[in-house]
Amino acid sequence: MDLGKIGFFQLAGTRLDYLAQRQKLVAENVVNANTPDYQARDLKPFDSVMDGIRPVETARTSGLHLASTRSTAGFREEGRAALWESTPSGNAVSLEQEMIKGSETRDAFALTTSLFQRNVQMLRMAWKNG
Amino acid sequence: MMNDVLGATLKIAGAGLQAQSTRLRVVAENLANADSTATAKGGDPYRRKTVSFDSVMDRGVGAELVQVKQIGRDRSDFQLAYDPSHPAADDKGYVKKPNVQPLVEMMDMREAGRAFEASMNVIEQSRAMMTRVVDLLRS
Repeated sequence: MDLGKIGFFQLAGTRLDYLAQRQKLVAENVVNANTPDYQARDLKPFDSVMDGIRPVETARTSGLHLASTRSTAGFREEGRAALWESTPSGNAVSLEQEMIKGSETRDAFALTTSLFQRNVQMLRMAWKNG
Repeated sequence: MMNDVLGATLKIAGAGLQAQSTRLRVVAENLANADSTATAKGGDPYRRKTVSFDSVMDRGVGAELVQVKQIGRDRSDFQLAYDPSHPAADDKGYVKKPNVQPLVEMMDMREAGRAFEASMNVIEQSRAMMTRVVDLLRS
């Protein structure tokens, strides 16, 4: 069985890759915080991937079933904050901003790996009881 | 592939730590020599050293690493102090003192320390992420 063929695992894998790449850019920005004329860089928000995916909705086979209260529009991330500051040497890296981005990335990574684990557990439960 | 990227993060942050410690070393040299005058008559004292950084693309890591571009010399004027008994005093009795300003050096030191800590933080974050990936095997 190929986990990569299940939509969720594929998405989780892409998300983990994205977050790792973002962490790498954060590291580059941090070490170049004192390099003249260096501009901080960031990845485009993840919603370019999310746009292709519609949220799952439960099927309503009877008129008595309640409709989902969640909107079916795609999830969107908030726009990224612009650069916070730029020094006279032409450097535009704010260490504070990079630290925030770094912990955001770490938390999102933790969330994704937890979801991954949970889904594997669910699959395992299905196999056991099947 | 993802672990490669996180591993590269550690290398990038490592380069940052190295660059900042070079900077701290130069600050230490400057502070230690803040009173180093010449020994010969009318000679030049210690000239303050400066560090400049540059980002270079590292093909192996695939990222822009920081490196010390050069350790230069501060060409600003020396301070003069009147002390005719000093061995380095010129004909008029003035001694040239190094152009090191302790306040500037202390600020430089603080900034380097802050950047150093930031790189350490990135290493910790990346390590936490790598641990999460390894933990996937355990469930």
